[in-house]
Amino acid sequence: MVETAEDRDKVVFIYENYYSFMCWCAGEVLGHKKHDVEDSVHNAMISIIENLECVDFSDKQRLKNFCGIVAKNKAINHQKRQSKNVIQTEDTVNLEIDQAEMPDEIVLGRETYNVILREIFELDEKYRDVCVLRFVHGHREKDIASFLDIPENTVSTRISRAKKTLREALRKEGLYV
Amino acid sequence: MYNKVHDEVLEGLMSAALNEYIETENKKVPDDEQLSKMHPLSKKEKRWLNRRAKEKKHNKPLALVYLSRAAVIFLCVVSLSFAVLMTNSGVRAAVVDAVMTWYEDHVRFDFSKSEDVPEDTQEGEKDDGIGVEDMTVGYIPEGFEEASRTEEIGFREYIYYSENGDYLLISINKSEDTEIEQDSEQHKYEKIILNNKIEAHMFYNNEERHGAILFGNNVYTVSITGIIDKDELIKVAENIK
Repeated sequence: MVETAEDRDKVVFIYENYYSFMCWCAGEVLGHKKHDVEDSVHNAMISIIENLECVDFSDKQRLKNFCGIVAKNKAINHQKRQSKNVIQTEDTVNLEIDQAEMPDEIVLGRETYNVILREIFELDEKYRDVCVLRFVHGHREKDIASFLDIPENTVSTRISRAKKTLREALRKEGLYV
Repeated sequence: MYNKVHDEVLEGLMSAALNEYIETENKKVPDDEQLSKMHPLSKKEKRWLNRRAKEKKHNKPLALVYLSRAAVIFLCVVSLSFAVLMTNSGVRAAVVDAVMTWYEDHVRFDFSKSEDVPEDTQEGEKDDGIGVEDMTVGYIPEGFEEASRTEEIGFREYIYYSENGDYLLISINKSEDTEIEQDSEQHKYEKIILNNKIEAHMFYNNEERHGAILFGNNVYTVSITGIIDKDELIKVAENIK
């Protein structure tokens, strides 16, 4: 909430410095639909304003990336709403299978990292963005849900699925014994 | 435990890989100049942000918002009604009278209705003013010289000045003749007890070293005013016998 002058300065800083970048990120999803892009950026700003206390302003590049992710995800949500595909069926899968798997041991080494890196690049954007916010930006699942306007369960599911994808890739390479 | 450690290893590797991914992706982003050409931040956008910030500022429960609005409307109506009433000279006079009475009640001390009578006051003293005439100033701080003295029936006034411009004004009156008014603006008010028995009213401004002590009963009233240290002011008051 913009209740203090300090908060207001933060919001203005984001808007003045990253508005164009956020539009670009949303535009990557929505194409050149100017009004849709603006709507998505507005929604992203609203989420950021409402969760301003969770936003880290210490690293500007990281902040920029964060704003981009929020804008991009708002654009995805916007696109989904427009195509009337509101129900996010892909995220309602039970987590039990993934969590019930007995842990194997990761073979640590350059090769393992390269496989993970390759899979990260190939990972579906919606899983990757949630993982970036969780493991790079260190946000709580609750905050991520609030930023991206998705249920908290969906955040957990996406993270679990991303991990599962990586484990499977490692297993295929024989690096997950 | 094993599961947790294992998961943390995977998360650590993911974090490193995600960072590398971000670095790679950041290189694909057009530079700021290009971005601002593609998506300029228009005045319309700035207006939207300002509006949004204001809306968020008042993000209170709806009931509270309507309640505060109702209170503001009520106050406006009352103010307007009052303004209309004030155009009537009779109402205006009554209001001024009420304000003056209130003001005087807060700056005036009337000791004449006091039930306290000094123990050594004899019957009849009150009427002929002997009580006032018998009173003496027992202590004057060092450096003060008497500048003027007025002694009449039922009234005593002594003025003292010091070399550095400080002054002391002591007035002793018959209480039935006098009401004391003291302007308390910028002065701190406190009730004090003189010599462990006489209740007195003190006003003192520490910055200006200006103060006054008022006390009395139904025989006399004493007012001591001056630019003088607080302790000395109290000492002067305590030594008026």
